[in-house]
Amino acid sequence: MTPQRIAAKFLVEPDPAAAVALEPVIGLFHRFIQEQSLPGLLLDVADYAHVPDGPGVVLIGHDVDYGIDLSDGQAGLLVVRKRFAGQAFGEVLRDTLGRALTAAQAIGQESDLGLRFASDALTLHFFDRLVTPNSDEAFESVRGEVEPVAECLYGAASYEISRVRSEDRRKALSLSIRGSGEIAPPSALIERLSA
Amino acid sequence: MSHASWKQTLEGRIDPGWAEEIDHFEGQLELRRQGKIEEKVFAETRLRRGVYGQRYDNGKRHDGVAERPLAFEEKPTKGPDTLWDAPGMQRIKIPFGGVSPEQLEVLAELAEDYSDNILHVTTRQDFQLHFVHIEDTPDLMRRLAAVDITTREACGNSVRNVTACPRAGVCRGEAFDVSPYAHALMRFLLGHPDVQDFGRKFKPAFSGCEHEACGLVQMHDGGYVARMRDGKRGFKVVVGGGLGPVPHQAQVLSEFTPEEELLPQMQAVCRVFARLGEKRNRGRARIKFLVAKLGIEEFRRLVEEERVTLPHDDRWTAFLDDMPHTSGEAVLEPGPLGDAGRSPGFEAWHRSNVYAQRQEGYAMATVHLPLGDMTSDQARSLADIARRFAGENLRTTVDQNVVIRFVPDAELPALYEALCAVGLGAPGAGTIADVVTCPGTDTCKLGIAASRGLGSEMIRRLQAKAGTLPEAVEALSIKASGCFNSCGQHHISDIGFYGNSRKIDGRTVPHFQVILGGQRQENGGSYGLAVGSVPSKAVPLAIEALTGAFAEGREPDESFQAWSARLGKRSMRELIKPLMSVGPYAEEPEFYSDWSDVREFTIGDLGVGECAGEVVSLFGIEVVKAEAQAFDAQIALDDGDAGGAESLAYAAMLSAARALVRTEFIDVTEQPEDVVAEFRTRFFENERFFDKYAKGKFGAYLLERHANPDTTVDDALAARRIEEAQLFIEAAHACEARMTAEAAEVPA
Repeated sequence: MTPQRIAAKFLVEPDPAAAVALEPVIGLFHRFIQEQSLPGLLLDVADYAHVPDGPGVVLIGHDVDYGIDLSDGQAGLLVVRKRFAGQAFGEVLRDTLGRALTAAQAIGQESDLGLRFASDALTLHFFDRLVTPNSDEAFESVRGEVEPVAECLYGAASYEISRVRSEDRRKALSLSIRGSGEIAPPSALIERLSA
Repeated sequence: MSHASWKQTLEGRIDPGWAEEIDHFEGQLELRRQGKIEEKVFAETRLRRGVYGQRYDNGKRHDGVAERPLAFEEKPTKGPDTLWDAPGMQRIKIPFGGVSPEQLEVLAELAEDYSDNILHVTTRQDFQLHFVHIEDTPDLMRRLAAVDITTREACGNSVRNVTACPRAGVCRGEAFDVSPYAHALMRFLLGHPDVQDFGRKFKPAFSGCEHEACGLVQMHDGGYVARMRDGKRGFKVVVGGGLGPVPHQAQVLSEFTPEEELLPQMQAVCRVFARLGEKRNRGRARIKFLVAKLGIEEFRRLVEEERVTLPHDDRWTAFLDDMPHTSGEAVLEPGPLGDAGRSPGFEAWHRSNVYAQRQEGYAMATVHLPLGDMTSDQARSLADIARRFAGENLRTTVDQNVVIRFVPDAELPALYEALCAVGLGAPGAGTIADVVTCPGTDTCKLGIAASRGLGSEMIRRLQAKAGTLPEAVEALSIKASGCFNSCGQHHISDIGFYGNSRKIDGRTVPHFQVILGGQRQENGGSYGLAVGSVPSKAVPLAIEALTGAFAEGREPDESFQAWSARLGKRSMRELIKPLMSVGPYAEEPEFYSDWSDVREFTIGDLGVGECAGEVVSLFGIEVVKAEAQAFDAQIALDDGDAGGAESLAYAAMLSAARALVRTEFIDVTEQPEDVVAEFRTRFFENERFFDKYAKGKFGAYLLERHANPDTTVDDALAARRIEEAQLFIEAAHACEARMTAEAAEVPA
């Protein structure tokens, strides 16, 4: 079964712990809505900059949210895919990563903003306590879905998958993927995912 | 991976009655999806489950350039003008704010699985989740029900969340702990047949004492103040209070209702309200209008008469048999606060966020949530912290915070460190930096201006000044609402704001009306009055001007309320007057957008779209007279001239109506008969003056006052008339803006 929501986070580089100016992001996201610059039906911008270690600024969409997220003390692009009834897990996973990389590219091209995202690693969250509880069994099951996608991105035997946030079973099931060797640029990664 | 549904997984863990209700709601949802039940019927059904609409759910959004359709898939609507797939808000009732760690953990999961990872605490101790899809709501409700939380009657024309002072049970000044009574009232009335036929909502509140602010019973439809008489517990009961566009102070129904009479008396109140309350005119349907219309003596007589006819119900007193002595028990032994091992920042936090309980050696600590928001991770951490230091003792507050009770004094430094580690250790609870706001234009369909955007900016600026402000300024309160409906409770703060707009340079500029001198003490004992409208972007400067003058000019120990009353509204207005004007768009474009929103401001999302009109309209010139009269009415009221104030408020409505009429009929006289007749024909009867949501309520203020002038005018009536005049003027501004937009849309 496919979980309720799948999220991917690419960290800001070079230093995700450094402060990020969120005010310009509000303007950028409003412009993205005007110009329909990102995939999905884009609805509105939610400003949570006042919340410490919070979701930052979120571009709310009908089937996907894009946010400059500050959770875990690390700034990054968090893309949450939702509302995909009937689609296969692997298909949604590829789609989520494709949208995330597309957004990373679009935001990265905004030179005034100065935000770049590292594409050699990412974190995946699976928001569904029923289908994907934060358990060893669910992790193994999810790993089986994630591996082909990770291989597609970074090549066979050139990535490492590890479970994160497992110390607290109340949290959503999460894992990280780290690629090694030479990492292709985001545009090439997007192409690989859609191939 | 599990293939079971939440319904299957939680079977046996939900109260059977609640489970059946949720199943029924799910069935109704499916029927509506298939188009088999009417949209209005379904809308009321979902509202009574706390499932609200959200801004842009009509499928239109102004993106700063133009109004664009939001291309949702074509499906049946969820209610009039409410698209099925548009995300909405789920309100979750938390009776008396009492929330356990386990419940908080479930709320955290729901925020991640169905919302945007934010748990929002409201000004009525509820939680709200935003951007929720309607198909997810039945499972969301099941997961809540499994931890004894219901969303039933979180909205709709019924009894809403029963609120109570968050200090109940630990307060040094209370008569007794009101929490068990609030819980009993909530359980008794939830789904009760006598509360299903109201014309409008009913909000109850409990307070343990008369004089503090925490319970705010004076601004509630029904309020209960704990009292002891001859060693027996009971309540002073008040009815007919409320904020909203025209605020009313509650009136005393009973000086002492014994505890065993609490539930039946309330049942009788509900029956009278259901039978005699207004049903057709939503704007006059709250119980405050019924009490004002009947008079409190007649209302009391009717309630007493009704009480005698009620068939006996064992539940009226059953709850008294196992009444807990107080709410919650400590998990740690008490101990004094020592000198060693304190983090930097502890002293400031301790000063503002800690309250010494009546139980010696224990304290209540306030977790300051900016704008009432916390993340799912923070909620889980808060649950852990509560378990470690205080057991089950968490409460949400009407100031949009959470309190942890029964923390041993000795553990406060450790508690502070634990809170700081998860971003919850901010000081400033209950200070000027603890800004309260409603959702405003962020998510509310009725919002005019960005109250949260303003609140966020104020928090940023005021926290930067923490520790440097004079003590008297530090102790002030700021509350902001996105519109006149007062969800941010702006009437009961020292400095309050509500959103409105003004047409300047052919464009619409977001503004906030400044409300000064409200009183939180005495349970929200008196309401502030408007002194003028300031552009949204000038509000921080207005606050600086007001607080600066207060710090300089106050007498020793003089409160903001006393200071502003002593100086008078005219002087208050003079302080903000330099900030009230806005230059042309070409010179000051920043004033033409709102906080946290770069789009050029529009009220188009409330109704029809807008575009630029003439630079200074005839209406714009004429309505100034109405605003001046409304202001003079406040001055007259301050001077003790209630009759003069009421007349001026009426005159202000006439002037605003005439300003509108003259846009079409330049030669209308100044005779009230003529103005009212023309206004009625040209703007009221054809509904051009009607607000999208309030309908004809504001126009009716003038028509009713004109037709039925009051023979005796007291301060309360005059104050109400002034509020009505303010709202009438706002409605005139909005009407003129719509007319301008419509004219611009007509092809040349």
